Amino acid sequence: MDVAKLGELERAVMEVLWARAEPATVRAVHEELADRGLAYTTVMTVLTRLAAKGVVRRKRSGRAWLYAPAASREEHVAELMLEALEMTGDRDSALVRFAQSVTNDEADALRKALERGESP
Amino acid sequence: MTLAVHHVAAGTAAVLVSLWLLRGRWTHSHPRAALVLWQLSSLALIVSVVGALLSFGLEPFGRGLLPALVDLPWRFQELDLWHLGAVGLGLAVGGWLVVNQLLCLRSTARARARHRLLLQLVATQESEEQGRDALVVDHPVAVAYCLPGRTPHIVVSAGARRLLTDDELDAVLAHERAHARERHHLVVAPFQALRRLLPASSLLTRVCSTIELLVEMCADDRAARSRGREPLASALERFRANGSGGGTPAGALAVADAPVSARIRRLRNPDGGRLPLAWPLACAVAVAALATSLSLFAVPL
Repeated sequence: MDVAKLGELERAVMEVLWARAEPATVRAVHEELADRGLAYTTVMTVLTRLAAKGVVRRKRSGRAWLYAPAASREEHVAELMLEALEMTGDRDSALVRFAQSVTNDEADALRKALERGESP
Repeated sequence: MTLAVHHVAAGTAAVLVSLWLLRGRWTHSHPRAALVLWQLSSLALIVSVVGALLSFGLEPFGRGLLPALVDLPWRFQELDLWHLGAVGLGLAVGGWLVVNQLLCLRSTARARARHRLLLQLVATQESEEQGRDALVVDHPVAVAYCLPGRTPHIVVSAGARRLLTDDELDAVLAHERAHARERHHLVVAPFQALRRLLPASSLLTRVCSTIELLVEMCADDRAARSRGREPLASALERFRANGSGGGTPAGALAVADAPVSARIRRLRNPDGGRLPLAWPLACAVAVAALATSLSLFAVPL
């Protein structure tokens, strides 16, 4: 499977997880993505990869694994923005930017959005 | 002793070139030439500092640096405390500089991988029909940036798209593509890694911001060639105005004002000044300093 396709699948799986209030089994995710005609093992692989990358948490429930997003979509957006605005405290930046402008209120809101995710 | 004197002379020449660069007004008209000179003189300075320490310390052996270093494990008891200390310091400084660069490369690579993953999960691709290839992050704060890598990504926030007109946005995207194409992150990274080694050094911080500004100016120039100067200048102006809004005093977080003003000024009034005649001279000095220090490592005496 090529990288772009895999990336697109990861995104689709995350969207399923974000839309659900509760942790989901592989089977549940597979069912929600039924119209894509994916193999069950493909969904399982994608979920395992996402868990390895730290964006999905998993815990065992009986014989099945339950998967839940590690952070909400808004928290991820906040993390991206903080990095883009050089507000992560790490002064070497991984990015090259054009310009950035943020008011102090916006900066506070971003930090709060991320803190909410870190202390659930 | 002659070896160490050569290194010290090379280091002094490199420092003089750097000081000239820090003070020069011409650098804003010729960012690329200035960057080349910065890279040459910084490398020369580092090599000569390490070289001076080592050649002072290894001087009793009466050999070239590399052969003397090879001999060191067997003959170190011939050195007195001063010489041994200088060798130790030289090796420590050189080694730590290299290790620090590698550690920084690794942490940046990790940060980029994480950033790329999150983009893939939450960013949307800009519609193709406008010929734009940017990713859009849905957030009201205005930013535009380039995530470097094997396949670089250009990212704008929804806030930046709202802030800018179509022409301005195209100019900003051209600016980011210039960063990606010219691999500017590779120019900035070694200096940022140095700063991480000495975070309290105001001189290094100043050098770093100078390099970052010059890199932005290079990208501005390239974007201005394809999209015109005015859209880029007005985009910068909008970013600047947007940042200081909100009634709060412009803190560290607001867009750094002075560099942005300098970029706007040179876009609006390109002075087209010629490269100073001293530039080739300074280049020659920096190259000579670097070559001297490097050759003293290799040439057996």
